[in-house]
Amino acid sequence: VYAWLSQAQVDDFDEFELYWLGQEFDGLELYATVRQVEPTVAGEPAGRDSVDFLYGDCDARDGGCPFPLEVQVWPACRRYRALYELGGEAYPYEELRLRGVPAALFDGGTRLELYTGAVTVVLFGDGPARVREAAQHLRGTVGGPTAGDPLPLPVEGALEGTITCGGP
Amino acid sequence: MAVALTAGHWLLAEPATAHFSAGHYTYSGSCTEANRVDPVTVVLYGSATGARVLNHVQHHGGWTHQSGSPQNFLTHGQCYAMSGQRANDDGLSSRWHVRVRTTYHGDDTWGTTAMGSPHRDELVWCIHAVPPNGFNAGRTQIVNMLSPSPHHTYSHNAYWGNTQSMKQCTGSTAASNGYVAWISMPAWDH
Repeated sequence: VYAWLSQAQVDDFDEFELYWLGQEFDGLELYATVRQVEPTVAGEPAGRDSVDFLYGDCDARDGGCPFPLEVQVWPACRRYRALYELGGEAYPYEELRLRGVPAALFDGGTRLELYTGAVTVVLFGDGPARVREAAQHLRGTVGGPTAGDPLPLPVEGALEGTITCGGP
Repeated sequence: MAVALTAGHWLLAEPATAHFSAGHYTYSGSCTEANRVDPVTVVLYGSATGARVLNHVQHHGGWTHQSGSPQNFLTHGQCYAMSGQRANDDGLSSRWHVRVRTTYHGDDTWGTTAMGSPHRDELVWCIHAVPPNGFNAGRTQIVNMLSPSPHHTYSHNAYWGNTQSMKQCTGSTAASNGYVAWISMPAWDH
């Protein structure tokens, strides 16, 4: 499944908790909201299942380009900290705590993951400062925590990958 | 000189104490976040010089075309030009396409390593765009191309989480599911 969601579809989404930055953040307008679901295939413990909020724009005339800021929300059963591996060893990340929940900083601070409730919120950005600032402004799409509020603690097993999920 | 590893692989020796270091994307220019283009989704190990990987991709897959824009890879914290690229058709066709770069140095466990960014190029009004699942499909193509050969061994898929969405010239997006396939490369060319 690859689909662009309307705002009404985002508002009605009930498969897992969603967090975003609103229609605009730091001068970056919401470009699109993308739903991606892929089956789990052999050799991969968990397939993709995410809602991606893309902020800002970039020039893709000469090949692909990243958005200045992106928020991806995954069920914790599909994306969790223990999933990472690099060359048979632990994948390097900086462990920290943000908004009252465990978080992990990757790739020189340009990727930040927050583990809250039964979801993993992943932020990609064009610099560590924007990513950290965005993390402080995450809020629920419908209700839930507002910007700056503490986030719900992760459910048991959310970081370790011991949650079972159904679906494809 | 060769060294025996516990995994049973025989590898050409690289300078000792080296460690695997590979960036997670290719870059259109300097290796800054804004210049990311494609995710890295395959690692070749054993005796994987860039030239050898290209040689085997060309032999096993028939990917002989070399057209495509140059891109850079990040390894050992430095930005380097790709070793090369191969595709199964020319630049004005839909095709499978991979860019490859040897990592800065070998690894004590994995030997000489290289990284690649295989993907599907669909011919569209603005020339080429990667479809939404085109990075995952590219990785599968490389695995299916090399792993049936007795001198290549598919090791595993490792999770790197490089799932960032990449805008395409059509305005649509493509993204990897974050997995990287590890495949061995023998110490000889075809």
